[in-house]
Amino acid sequence: MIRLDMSKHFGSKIFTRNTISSFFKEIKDLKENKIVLDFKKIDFISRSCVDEYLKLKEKLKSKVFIEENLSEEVQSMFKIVRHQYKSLGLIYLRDSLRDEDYLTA
Amino acid sequence: MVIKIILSESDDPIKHIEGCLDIIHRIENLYEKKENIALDFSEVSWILPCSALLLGGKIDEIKNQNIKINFISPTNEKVKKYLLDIGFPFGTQELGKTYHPINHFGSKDNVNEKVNKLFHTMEDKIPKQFGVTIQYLLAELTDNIEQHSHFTHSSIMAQFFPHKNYIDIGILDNGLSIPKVFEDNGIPFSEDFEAIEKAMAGVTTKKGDISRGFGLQSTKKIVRDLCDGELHIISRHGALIFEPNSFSKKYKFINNSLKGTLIYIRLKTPSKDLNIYPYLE
Repeated sequence: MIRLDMSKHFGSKIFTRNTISSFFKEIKDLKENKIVLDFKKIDFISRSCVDEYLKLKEKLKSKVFIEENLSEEVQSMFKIVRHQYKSLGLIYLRDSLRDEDYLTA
Repeated sequence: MVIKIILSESDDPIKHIEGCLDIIHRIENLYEKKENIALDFSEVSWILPCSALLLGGKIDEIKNQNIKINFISPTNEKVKKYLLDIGFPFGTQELGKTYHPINHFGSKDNVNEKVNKLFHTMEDKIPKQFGVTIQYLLAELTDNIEQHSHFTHSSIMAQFFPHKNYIDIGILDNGLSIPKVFEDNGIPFSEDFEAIEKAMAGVTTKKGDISRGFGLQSTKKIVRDLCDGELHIISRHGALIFEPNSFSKKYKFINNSLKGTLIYIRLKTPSKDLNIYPYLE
């Protein structure tokens, strides 16, 4: 298992899809399969970045991701994107918070 | 060759942008002929951030290309000080009390890092009631530039006007422009402002990816409906303007065009805390 401080890669705010893509390129090459992503110092993530994050996470089936310490602001953006997925009929099976969130959305 | 800078004395961004497009056209003509350029600002008595951004973006883009660019300063001391303060035209690292100066970046720069830096320097200047509104708008607009425009040069600036109670944000790129990207992807439209309208309605070139196309739509909702603000999108020959409580205004620049896209936002300082999330659903 490896624990990654997201702020070291992104700063305190995650603004662009490209930066999410380059992050996934890096973690794809990690030897560890279980990856804990610590969002503690992240106070903002954009809607587009959540979308990109969930898509790339879905594709990278060789890894198990655990997201921790999401701020209220970051959780709200994840919830919004999941809500949009629901209305579009999109389901990402590897989104660990999906079921709970879909029930409350 | 001297180019006399003449700009509208009004607060109307479209008039300023139209004037700037004419000046940029003349700069580009001289640049193509490899002629040295002198920009005469002596008679400028009022300049909006969007004009400073448009002119600064073009001048920075062509610097170091074996032509000399000279400046004749404004005689108006306020304009002279303002241009100096915002780091016109090449940008500056020095921060003002109410603004983030012009910042230029290229396609090889880490845009996420640039925008993080910009926001950190602005954070304590922006009224707290905005919450994450400014971050959201910066994120969606800069991401659009990275994802769609094929830009090589981009410029960004922001200014809070505490006495007038609004904040202006401008983002400029020298990419393909929205109409050109649509043409290249076979998306039909007749006028350039129609292409912008389609982009604002969620039409995207990322075909088959149905969760795309929310960025500009949500930007419009947040600016106009949540913030009572104005949103100007200028791309090639077209301009589309959204204002509170009115239909969108469409413009066609007949004589000149912008190589790329300028998005210019004016947000009123809110009287209560803003919540963007209902506008994203």
